[in-house]
Amino acid sequence: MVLVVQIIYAQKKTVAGKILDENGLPLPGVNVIEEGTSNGTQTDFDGNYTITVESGATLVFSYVGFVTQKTVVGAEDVYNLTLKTDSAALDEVLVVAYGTTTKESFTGSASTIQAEQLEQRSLTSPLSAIEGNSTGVQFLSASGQPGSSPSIVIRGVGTLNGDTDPLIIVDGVQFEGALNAINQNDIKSMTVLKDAASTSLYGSRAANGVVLITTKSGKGKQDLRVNIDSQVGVINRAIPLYDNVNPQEYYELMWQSYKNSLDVDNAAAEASATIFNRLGYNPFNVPNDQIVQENGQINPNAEVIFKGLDWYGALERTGQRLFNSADVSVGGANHNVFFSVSNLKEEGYVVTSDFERTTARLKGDFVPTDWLTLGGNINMALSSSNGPSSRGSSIANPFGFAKNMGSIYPVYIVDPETGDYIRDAAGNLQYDRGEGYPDFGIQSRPTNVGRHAIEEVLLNDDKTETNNYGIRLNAGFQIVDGLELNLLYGQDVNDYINKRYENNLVGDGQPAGRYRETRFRRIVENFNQILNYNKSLGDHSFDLTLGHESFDRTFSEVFGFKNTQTAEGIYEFDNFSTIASLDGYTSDKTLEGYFSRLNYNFKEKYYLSGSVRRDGSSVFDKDVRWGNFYSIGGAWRVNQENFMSNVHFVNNLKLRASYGEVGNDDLNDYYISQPRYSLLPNAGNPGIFWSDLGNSALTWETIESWDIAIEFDLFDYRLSGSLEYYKRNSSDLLYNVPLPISMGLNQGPANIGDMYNEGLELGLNGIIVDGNNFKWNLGLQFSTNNNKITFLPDPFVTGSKRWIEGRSIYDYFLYDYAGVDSENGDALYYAYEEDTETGENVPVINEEGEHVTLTDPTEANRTYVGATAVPDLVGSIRNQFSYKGFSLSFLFTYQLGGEILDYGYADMMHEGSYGESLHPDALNAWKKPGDQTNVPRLENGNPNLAPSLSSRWLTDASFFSLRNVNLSYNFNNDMINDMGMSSLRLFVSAENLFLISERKGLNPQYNLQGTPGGNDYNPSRIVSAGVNISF
Amino acid sequence: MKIFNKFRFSLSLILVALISFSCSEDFLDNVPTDAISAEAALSSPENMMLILNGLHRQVYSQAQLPGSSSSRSGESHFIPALDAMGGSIIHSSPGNGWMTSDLQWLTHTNPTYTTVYNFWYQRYHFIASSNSIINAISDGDFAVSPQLNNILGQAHAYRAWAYHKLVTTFAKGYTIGNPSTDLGVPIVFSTEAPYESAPRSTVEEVYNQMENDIDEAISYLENAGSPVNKSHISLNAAYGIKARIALSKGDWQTAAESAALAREGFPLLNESQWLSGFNTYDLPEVIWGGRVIDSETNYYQSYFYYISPTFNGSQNRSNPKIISSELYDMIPETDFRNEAWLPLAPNTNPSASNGEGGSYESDPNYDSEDEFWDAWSEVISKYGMTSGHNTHPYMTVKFLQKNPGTIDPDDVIYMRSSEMYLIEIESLAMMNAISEAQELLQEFGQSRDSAFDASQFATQEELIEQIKFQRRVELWGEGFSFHDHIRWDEPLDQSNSGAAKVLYQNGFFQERPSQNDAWIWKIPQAEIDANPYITSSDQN
Repeated sequence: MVLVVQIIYAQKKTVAGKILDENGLPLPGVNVIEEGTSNGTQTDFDGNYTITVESGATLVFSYVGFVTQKTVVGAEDVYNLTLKTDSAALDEVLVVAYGTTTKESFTGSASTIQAEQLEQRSLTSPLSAIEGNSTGVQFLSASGQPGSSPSIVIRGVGTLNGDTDPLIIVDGVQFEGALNAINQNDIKSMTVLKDAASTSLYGSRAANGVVLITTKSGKGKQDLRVNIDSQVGVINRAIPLYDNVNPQEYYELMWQSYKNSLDVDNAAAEASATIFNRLGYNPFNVPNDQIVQENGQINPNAEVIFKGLDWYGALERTGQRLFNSADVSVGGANHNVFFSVSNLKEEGYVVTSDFERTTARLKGDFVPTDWLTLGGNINMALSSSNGPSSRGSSIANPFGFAKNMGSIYPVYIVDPETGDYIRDAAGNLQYDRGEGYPDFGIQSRPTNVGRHAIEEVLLNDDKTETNNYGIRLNAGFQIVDGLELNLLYGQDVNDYINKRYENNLVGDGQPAGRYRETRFRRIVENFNQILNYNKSLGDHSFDLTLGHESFDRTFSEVFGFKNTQTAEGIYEFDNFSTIASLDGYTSDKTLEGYFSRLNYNFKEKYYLSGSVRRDGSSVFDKDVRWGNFYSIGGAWRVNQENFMSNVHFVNNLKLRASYGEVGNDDLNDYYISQPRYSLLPNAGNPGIFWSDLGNSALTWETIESWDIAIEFDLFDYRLSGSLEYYKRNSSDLLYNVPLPISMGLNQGPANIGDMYNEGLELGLNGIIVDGNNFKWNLGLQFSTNNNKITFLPDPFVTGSKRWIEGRSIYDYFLYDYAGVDSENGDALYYAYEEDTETGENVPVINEEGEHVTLTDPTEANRTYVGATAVPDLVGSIRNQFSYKGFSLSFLFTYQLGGEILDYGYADMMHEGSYGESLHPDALNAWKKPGDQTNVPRLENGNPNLAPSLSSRWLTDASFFSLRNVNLSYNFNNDMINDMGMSSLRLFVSAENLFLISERKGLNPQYNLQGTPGGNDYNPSRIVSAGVNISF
Repeated sequence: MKIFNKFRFSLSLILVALISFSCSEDFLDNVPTDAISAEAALSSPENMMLILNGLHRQVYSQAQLPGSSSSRSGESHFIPALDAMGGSIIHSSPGNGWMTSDLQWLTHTNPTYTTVYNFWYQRYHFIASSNSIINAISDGDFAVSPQLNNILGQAHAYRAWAYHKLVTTFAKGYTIGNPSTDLGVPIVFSTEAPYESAPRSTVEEVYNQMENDIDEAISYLENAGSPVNKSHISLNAAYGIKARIALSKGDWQTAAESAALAREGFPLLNESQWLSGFNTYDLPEVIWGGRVIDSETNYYQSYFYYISPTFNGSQNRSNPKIISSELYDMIPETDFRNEAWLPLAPNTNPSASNGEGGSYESDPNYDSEDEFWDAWSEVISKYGMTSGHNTHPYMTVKFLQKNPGTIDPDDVIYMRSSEMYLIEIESLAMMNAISEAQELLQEFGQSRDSAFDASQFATQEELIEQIKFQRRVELWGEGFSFHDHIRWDEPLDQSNSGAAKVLYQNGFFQERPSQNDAWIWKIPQAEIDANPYITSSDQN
């Protein structure tokens, strides 16, 4: 072939050379292209290339991360070059919707996280790496349950449906599996697409932004390379516990609560005599009727003799994390292959919780002829996890159980006389289920009688197995020069099995034991056909994309539930005799889209980009299911202008702006437009009931966004950054509007209103020190977001918020706490009444012109209390130091402003429910007339003293946290080359090292509504050490 | 030279691609598998029967409705809750806390509480489903048949039943208020947009609506086939609902006549039936009830979880439910119903709210440990409880599971002929038909008490006192006490009942309903928030 070519094109010549980096090391995989043609090659493993070109041609040498260089082929036959590192990585390939581009020509807004940044982290879900590395992104912490993923919110919540998850695209197609199914070492880059210009090509699925994940490939002409990564770590709780009163204080406070509820002549004496009867447990060394004196003080002789009062101690442990992964890559002139395997084992810091995942991925790209490329990858992730599954307000939630337990109650049965453990015949501790043990003289607990969520966790069994299998297949055809057809097919199969046994001794499974199993399979298929045409005409370049996509998601589930076990220790249906439930269903969501995009640039100075997409969704009725979404964007590289040529401190300056639309069809129900009756048998006879209102007029919600930005690199790339403003208008918002429940259903779907999100984003990156040995990089990020409803026909209340035109969806609507009546200790609330004209609640003013206060909050009514859950600013500070082979990085994240309705705190500041835990702030409770305090009296059974929807619980949401620290050492090449390695890196890293917030116990990143219950599996802290080896 | 021409190959490939990849026309038409369309549901009598079956289930079951809480829902909850608030079922300790707030009068007085929300929402769901059926049949072209009459009859009956529950609970009692001006509840007929519901009608208007509905129900059911089973509303059950409506209105004539028709064919229980535990609707007295099978259990939100001393749940084991000792002590020794409560059961729970529990030393009925625990063992083994169960003086054994000591489901009884006897007797007495009342009272009384003698109740006053006593004993735990207080305008007073003030707090004493609007439940805040015709100033 070469011979033939040489005969035909006799005027051509063959040149060769070697490409080195600045350290003098050979660079494999450098693209060597004859300018203006498609003729090209790549350097081999030793940096050598050979290419046949026309005499006088220009050779272009390019490589990701290096400055592209050009050389004119003259008389010589050898052209050796040293490529310089491009500190600004201007030629960085940016993965965008249905293709790639370069940073300089991109008119949209995106942030990229590269493999190098991921290497710093020990993450289970790669999504976590985005926090602090992308402006405009707000994070909600992952649960501490091993294997959990955090939630991310890109540029505020543009929908009302509560779902904030961005569209995740893995290797070109939508991915619906859990993000923890992706081995972080398989990831080459993650791109966060934020504005409509970059996302609108995904049309209807991009309302919450898009995260593009690209997995690693082999590199061209590369000898076999092996990477091994091995890590070991320990896991602890990252967020401190809420403070809790001690047993003496607890008794004093409950004495108050009891005394104030008594309707007898000498309440104090009665309370002192019988407070024990209310609480049931006396952890002290004094008699039951002498625990609290009649003056309300604890008996000075009372010392705690009970053992085992630490509920969290019984729930927690030190967990561990083990991660091993290996990958192999190899490439040649017309093929490259990447293969990886990994295993992750995590044991959470809470008993029984764990996660294990094994992944494998094989990816290959092949070029059979010069006009055909074939490739694809297959991957699997097999995971299993165990853990206490009950969350929320369930009594079986061990976190809530431990948190809400008064400080006088022991975890294990103790002798009320001596306070020592009473062990069973085998010498083991016995859990105190709080239902009274007359044999030992132990009374019932007044709270959580007959339950012990920690024992239940240990006796129950809750195992989840999730298998993800994915394939990506692509074929590319070059039809004529510049015209390509790409076919891309992807399928992700997700198999899920949850087996849950509840024991027969204590808890919901008592007395017979019960077992349930949920299995589902989700298949997501995506098929894209994309035509791409590239053309340059002088100074004008065009790039046109046309495509068609179909999406099909099928979900099929069975759920079985049986009770009455036969034998111990068998957690399968065979072992249970009575069927309580056996259900199953299949759901299907389909989507079809046609799209096109045109990119244009003039002299690499002015860029224009436009796109159109037309989507049809199965969610909507036939007549209204098609929606059109378009975008337009432009960029101006100011530094390319002649007038800038003398401004030497500016290396790069770009202005860009975009406008575009995306849509949303998601209201958490694939059949939402269809009025339905759900199936409900009666005593085995078939039956149905009216369950879903439907709405055939329901259609696309649209989000129009504006984005204006300036990007710059200054002072020889020492300072770079971007400043952006965005505004996202959401219209025809989809929502399940609350109906008067006297309609017989509580909600109906509708396109109800409009709202916008706007914000500023500033990202700065500075190379503070750039010495030969010592380098210091500093990254700062600041983002703001404001949210406002601009149109809503009728205001409505949703939880602690009320939505109305002119306000944010995060404005609190609460009982307006007015403090404590110093005469009697009543909680007071400012009174409001509805202004029938405006529908607004206005203050009730008395004759003296004072704002009336009432003691019954429901009579006082709720109002806007001037607080919002939206923070004023979220941001991060990233430092990276390197000295010779050492490198140290740490990432702080923070949030300023905004308020949290701290339900976790409110639960511990109740009116004095017997047995429930109390926060030390309760010690400030009103006790006698004249007391000036902000904490009302304690009084058992009084519902007006501490309602949860009260402005009293609002707490500053600001926080400052050390998210990640990484210290690593890279051995220099000489030393390790002798050992047959090409690189060796040792490191220690820590995630979630500390958190400072307004109140101990608070997780300020719990949810966007700012309503943490304080009873969830709090995020974990992971400290790992590891080694990376390549050879 | 080349095997194939790439240009031609690619072109044909594009054509193939365009043809085969463009999706077929129905690619975007999907239907659910866990539901049927509303159109289909209302398209045939057979399918409307399915809707009624769904309602029959929902009478007792945990709420299925979107946005509702599965707890505190259905008659399984509301029967025992109304008797806890009405003071008939007395809790002996806080137990596991379930229903403590109900008996302390903290739930129905709070417009944001689940109890209030579910009670309102579920009843209105019955109304909406009935409306859909009635509207579909009146708009449609269905052949009149016994089946269609059955459907219409039950739909009208459910609507009447639901409004009756609502208006007697969320409005001032008819007999103690001014029905023509007192605000009742919204009357809703539409099930279509704009879903704005309606303003509160007067109590009188709601009664008119119920009376129309129940009369229509009866005329349809007279021309329908016999009911499939007792979970369906039969002609008898419809008369029973009519009798209840008339009773709460003080329309004695109608009440007496309807009650008599309702109990036709449902003979009074004999002693062994009465003492069998009220756990099945197969009992001959049962006119209307819910059959609960294993796969449709309410688990820990079932009726028997709250009420049966044998149910193996933490609600029960430390909280046996008791009858007012004052009431119990009035039951003659010759009345077999005295076996339904155990006045001398030992007080084994150290946390019993009366402070007398835990040992023979604190329990005044016992003098030695052995006697005390022997008595406990006897109760436990006789009724099939577990060693984890506590006993308490005056505890009930009226409700006993078919399978004691388990969590297996049992039926829920909504209406039985005793209630109808008592309605009829009360109505006759109120009409001053003394001898007829005495006669019927004798028939009823002697079926319970071999020595019963109705002739000693010779005046209207004496008769009414006796009827009140009979209702309290006979229907104990069946959900009537709260509304009976309203009808009779009696205060709630637990002074001599054995209830512990420290547990009952607000629920220990409440002034009579005519003087005290706390008897009127709060309208759920969710209704006020979303109903354009009701504002917080319309709140009860």
